[in-house]
Amino acid sequence: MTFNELTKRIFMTEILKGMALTLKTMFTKPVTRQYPEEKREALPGFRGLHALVRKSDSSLRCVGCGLCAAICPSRCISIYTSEGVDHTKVVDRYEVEVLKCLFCGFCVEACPFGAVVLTEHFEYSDYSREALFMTKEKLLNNWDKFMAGKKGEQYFEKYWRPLAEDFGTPENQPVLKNRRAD
Amino acid sequence: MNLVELTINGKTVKAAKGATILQAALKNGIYIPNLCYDRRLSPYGGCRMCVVEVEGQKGLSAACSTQIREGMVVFTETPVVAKSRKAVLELLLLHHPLDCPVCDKAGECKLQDMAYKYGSTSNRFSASRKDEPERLDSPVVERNPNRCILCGLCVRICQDHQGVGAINFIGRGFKTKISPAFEETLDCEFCGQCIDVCPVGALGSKTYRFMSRVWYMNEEEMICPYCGCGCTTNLSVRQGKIIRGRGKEGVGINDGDLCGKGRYGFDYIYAENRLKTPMIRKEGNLVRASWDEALKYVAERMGSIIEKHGPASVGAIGSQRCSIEDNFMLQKFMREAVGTDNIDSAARFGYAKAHKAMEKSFGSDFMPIGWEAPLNAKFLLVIESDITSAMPVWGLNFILARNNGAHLAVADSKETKLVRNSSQWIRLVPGTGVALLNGMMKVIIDEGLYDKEKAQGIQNFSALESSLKDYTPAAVSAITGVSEDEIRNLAREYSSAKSRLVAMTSGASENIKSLNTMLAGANLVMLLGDSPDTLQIPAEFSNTLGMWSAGVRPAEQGKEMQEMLYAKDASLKALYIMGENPIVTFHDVAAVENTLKGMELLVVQDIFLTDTAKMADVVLPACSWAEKDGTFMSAAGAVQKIRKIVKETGEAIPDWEIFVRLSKAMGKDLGLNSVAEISAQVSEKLSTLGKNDLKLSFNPAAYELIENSSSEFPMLLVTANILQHSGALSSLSRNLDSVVSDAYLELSPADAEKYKIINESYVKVISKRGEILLKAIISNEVPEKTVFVPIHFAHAKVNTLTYPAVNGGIPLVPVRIEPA
Ligand code: SF4
Ligand code: SF4
Ligand code: SF4
Ligand code: SF4
Ligand code: SF4
Ligand code: FES
Repeated sequence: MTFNELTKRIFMTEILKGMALTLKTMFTKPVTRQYPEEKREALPGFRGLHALVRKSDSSLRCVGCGLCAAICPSRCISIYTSEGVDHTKVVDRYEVEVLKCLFCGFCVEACPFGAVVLTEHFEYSDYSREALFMTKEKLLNNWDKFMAGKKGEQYFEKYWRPLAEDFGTPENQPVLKNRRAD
Repeated sequence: MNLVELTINGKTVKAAKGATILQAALKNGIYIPNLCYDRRLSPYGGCRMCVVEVEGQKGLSAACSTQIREGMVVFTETPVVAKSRKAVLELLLLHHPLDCPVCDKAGECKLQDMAYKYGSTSNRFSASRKDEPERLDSPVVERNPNRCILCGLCVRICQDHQGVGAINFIGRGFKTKISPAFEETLDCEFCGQCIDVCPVGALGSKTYRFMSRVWYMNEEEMICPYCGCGCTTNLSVRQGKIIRGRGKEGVGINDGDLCGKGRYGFDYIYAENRLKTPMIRKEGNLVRASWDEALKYVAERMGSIIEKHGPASVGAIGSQRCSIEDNFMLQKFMREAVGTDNIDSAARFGYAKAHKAMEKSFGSDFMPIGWEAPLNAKFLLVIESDITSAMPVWGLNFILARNNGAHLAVADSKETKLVRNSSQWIRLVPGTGVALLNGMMKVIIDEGLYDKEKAQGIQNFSALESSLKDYTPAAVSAITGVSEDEIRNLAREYSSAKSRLVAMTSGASENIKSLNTMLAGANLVMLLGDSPDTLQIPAEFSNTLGMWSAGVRPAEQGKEMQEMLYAKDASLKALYIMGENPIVTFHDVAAVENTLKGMELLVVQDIFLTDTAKMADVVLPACSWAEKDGTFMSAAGAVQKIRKIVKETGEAIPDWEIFVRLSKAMGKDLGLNSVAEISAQVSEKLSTLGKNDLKLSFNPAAYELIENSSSEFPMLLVTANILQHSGALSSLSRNLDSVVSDAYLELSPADAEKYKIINESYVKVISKRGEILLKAIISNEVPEKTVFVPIHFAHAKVNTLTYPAVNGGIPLVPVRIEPA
């Protein structure tokens, strides 16, 4: 036993150090949050419950291309489309089995239109599985509830900008420019 | 075959002389991107995606249109090549709408794949995009000119391969597009071959429009349920429902070719009148019953009839649409559990004639067609048959043979598709094919053009010779309406050709041919010393040959169809019908109806509640072809598997299983309980087919009409198949009904004038058996004094007028027409 160790023992330095910390914390505020009374803001970019974006004319932005369903690693998105009365493509059903989802956000990234998003909402526990089977209507509702307005816009700017928007034909090209084909 | 050796990407490969670089590469598993090449068409060289570097050659060569040379060194993926492909894609995408998210081709689009591999993410050029309206006005085919890359594949497949030529390029420069003439609504045979061949989403199936994305579906290889070709169709299934059919290169005997039925006809299994539960007639009405109840009921009633009237009072009708296993079990049940030999099928009116002709003439028990047979002959003679509509994909081989330089002579009264693609059209009076054949033989014998040594050694030669004495060119010309010279020339040219083939179909609905026509065909073959397989008569439906070979026909004393259904004395007390609808598809409906009404017990086992099922005492629901395992035998004799790819409808069970359960209910276990066990027994039975020695014999065949036209009934009614349908089954497919959904009557302009009939108005067609109402279509395709009617549609009741042929006479129907 060295001299140093011996002094530590005699004067109980370690214990005193610990007591000092205990005393100090006794006078600071506690970190425990009183959830659910006390809620915490989600951090920007949080990946919570899904939503389907509603356009300004209140229609669905999704065209039913199925890329989100194709990329989804847990295969939890099913989309059913058909031909509408005006011969355009109609998304009849868009369903997410939220209980299977692993919140990777691939679907958001794959969508060429920014039509499916993950909201900041995370409090959706329930007693039945059905409640967590998201239909098109529920998903549109999610958008209205959690993302409509400014918030959605900000998210688009920062996180959801569809990759497709980067692939435009550049302006000011020399060849064939402005040449109408007819 | 001469092989050439060359090096592609450092790998030494061999390919046939005359092949192109692209063919050589693809054959050896090296992929070169291509957009305008198709295995069935000649090189086009239009897209320039297939460019490759060839050592010692300046610039790049198009692989699809450069022939290989010995020692050639080719590189398919160099930076220069990639750069060139990138530029090509840039130009292709310049006008392209790039609406992949709503384009049904996405995921299997060649342009998309290539853009992904070689394309750039931006375009150096800018130009306006095309903005043409989509054309959705025709049935089953949709066109989106904006997505078209003008590869010309659709135009060429339609014209050169399919023999139709319905579409072409119209307009110039930027405005070029694919369209029928004058931008009219597309009105073609709707085979859908152009859709399969289109590398992009410019042509699509309307029935599949926006239904799914390719990555949601499983694709299953299935045998087409319709004609005897036995094509493999690739069916896409989503969530347990078949939503699309298409052909695929290299798959099946058809190598990706399909007719409209194979491509669109799968949806008959979703018809509204599908049977879901067994039903028993109680107090005059069919009411739902459980399987146990229904089987017990059948067993008891059948048992008491056997007890009272003996097993010979029970009869059964098999089905050309059910699998070999189903038919095998039907006949096994009838022979072993019931003890009757009264087993027959609708093939009695069709393929049985061909079988009989082959048996009598060649002593052969089993004569499937040769798929490639048309390609091996220099002179093809087709007797009163539109092979391109009865056997559409096999029919393509006839067109191909003609394109390859063979002489295709078609004797027909109607201007059929095959006639339009023939080298020579011998337009004769309907039903006189047998006279024409006899006339040809007369000339051949008189001028000594036949194979004397062989022919004279065949039994009955002198009988044939003397039977032909009345068929002088002058007499035959008077019967057939073909000039004497044409008959003589045909006989001379045919007999002097290097290799020959006589072909005709054997459809039950066709009343312009009969046993005698087929015998005459066989006589001609033997007279010229040709081998029996130069007479090609295909079995009609998907499993006609399989059913026939499984033993659904009387073996000994059993009654044939004519005796079962048309005999005056009602000796049959019980009839068991599997997958057949005699009230609609059999001739002389009134007689059939009468017989069925007289039955003490009528059991109908079907997938639909057919008109016949509505008359039954017990109705048993069976699985359709996509809901069970089994095998079909094609007209070419190939035994091919069908598989359960979707769930059964309601409580339906496979036909074979019904017999398993029913025999147990009757206390007579047949000892077979699964498809595998049945198949094992069946293949034992099938393995003996076609093994007997041939025994040739001439059978004089006279030309005679069973019923002649008279002043009261001056016209002749010709009934037949049309290309878009097959029996009555296809009329339950909505997709196919969107093309043709109703019977009609075609007549010549001269007759229309004579009988004061306006196009598309209704006409009464009256024969001595009854009358029906049909819409008239005035057409140059039919000759005078003849009306043509397709038989597929139940509500038209065409078979009210027809009658079954008993001997070798031609069962044409004399009729009178009146405006309704
Ligand atoms: S977040 Fe990931 S797992 Fe969840 S739906 Fe989207 S792609 Fe699928
Ligand atoms: S990727 Fe976007 S547009 Fe396509 S189906 Fe999914 S949400 Fe809809
Ligand atoms: S044709 Fe191909 S590239 Fe063009 S829109 Fe359709 S999927 Fe996309
Ligand atoms: S429609 Fe399709 S197959 Fe026809 S030319 Fe255009 S891209 Fe080619
Ligand atoms: S109907 Fe005949 S030719 Fe047409 S796809 Fe089916 S098997 Fe082939
Ligand atoms: S495939 Fe060779 S030019 Fe199109």
